[in-house]
Amino acid sequence: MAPDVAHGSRGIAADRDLMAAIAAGDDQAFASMVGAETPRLLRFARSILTASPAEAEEVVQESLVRLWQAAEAWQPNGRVSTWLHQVVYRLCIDSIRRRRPSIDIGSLEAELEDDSPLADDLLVREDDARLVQSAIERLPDRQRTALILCHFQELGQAEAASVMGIGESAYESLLARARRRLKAVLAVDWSGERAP
Amino acid sequence: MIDTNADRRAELVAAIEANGADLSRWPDRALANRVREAVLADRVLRAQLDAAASFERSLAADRDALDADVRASGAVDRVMAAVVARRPQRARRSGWMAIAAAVVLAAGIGGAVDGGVFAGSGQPSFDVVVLDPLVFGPLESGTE
Repeated sequence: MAPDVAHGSRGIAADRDLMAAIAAGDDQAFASMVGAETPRLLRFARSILTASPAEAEEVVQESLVRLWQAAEAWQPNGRVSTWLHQVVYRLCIDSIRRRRPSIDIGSLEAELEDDSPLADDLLVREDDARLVQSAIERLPDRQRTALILCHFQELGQAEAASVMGIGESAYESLLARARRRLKAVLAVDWSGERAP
Repeated sequence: MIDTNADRRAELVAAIEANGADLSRWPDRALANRVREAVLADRVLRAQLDAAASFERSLAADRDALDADVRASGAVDRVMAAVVARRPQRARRSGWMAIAAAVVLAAGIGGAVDGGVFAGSGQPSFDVVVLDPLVFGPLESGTE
């Protein structure tokens, strides 16, 4: 067995035991899970719902309550963290749709798709998080999610694809477009900043 | 030969673009190893990999800034407190269910006792007969 597969199996087994403890009413187990997952989930939700930190908090809160409710019927098919990311992602998408009911997210992405050439020689300035954050916020929703899952949440390709409910090759393609688009946006921003 | 090299480089550049600079995370390990070997001799490819690494460091810096912002805002504590506050609703419902179960059990035991389930435990039993004075008259019923 490959080491990462073995690690994954151990993780799934550990999650199964933890969820069994939560279902049995072990407050300590639930508190441990909430404490471990909350900061990471908040980062994810805040990155998706960029304009509303309060909404991101509500989404994370709801996902953790759903985890508690799901404990009794938990099926150990995957990691708890992946399940939580899936719930957070769906709740975020619902929230975005409520905010922009007339805009379809898929078509929005197609509209904003960027065919500009790769910024191959771009050396990104590492000290300016503000510009990077602003550029990430301007990415189409699905591209931003793919980028966040990879670079912020550090999920593997299969796990990230599962969170978004798409195939691995579709996720790979989405991520590549996101990277390309972000570099292009940053190149424009920085050239604008350098201009007199 | 030049075209072949250019094609090979283009393929590896596209792979770096798709998978990022961290070669240890690439799903195709053979391709990652090809990039490792190629950058040793190809300065253009090396520059491409460095640019990708720089790009990822900038994303990591942005992620760290976001984490610091989340910590400073007190969001983690707020969410944890809210989740704990919402969770006891089920606990309270369980409490009421336990009380309801206890009431049903008590009623069942009472009914069983009343129905004589525990009869025959050695205690003498007797029947009380009340005669209706309108039918049997005052003498027979003993009311007068």
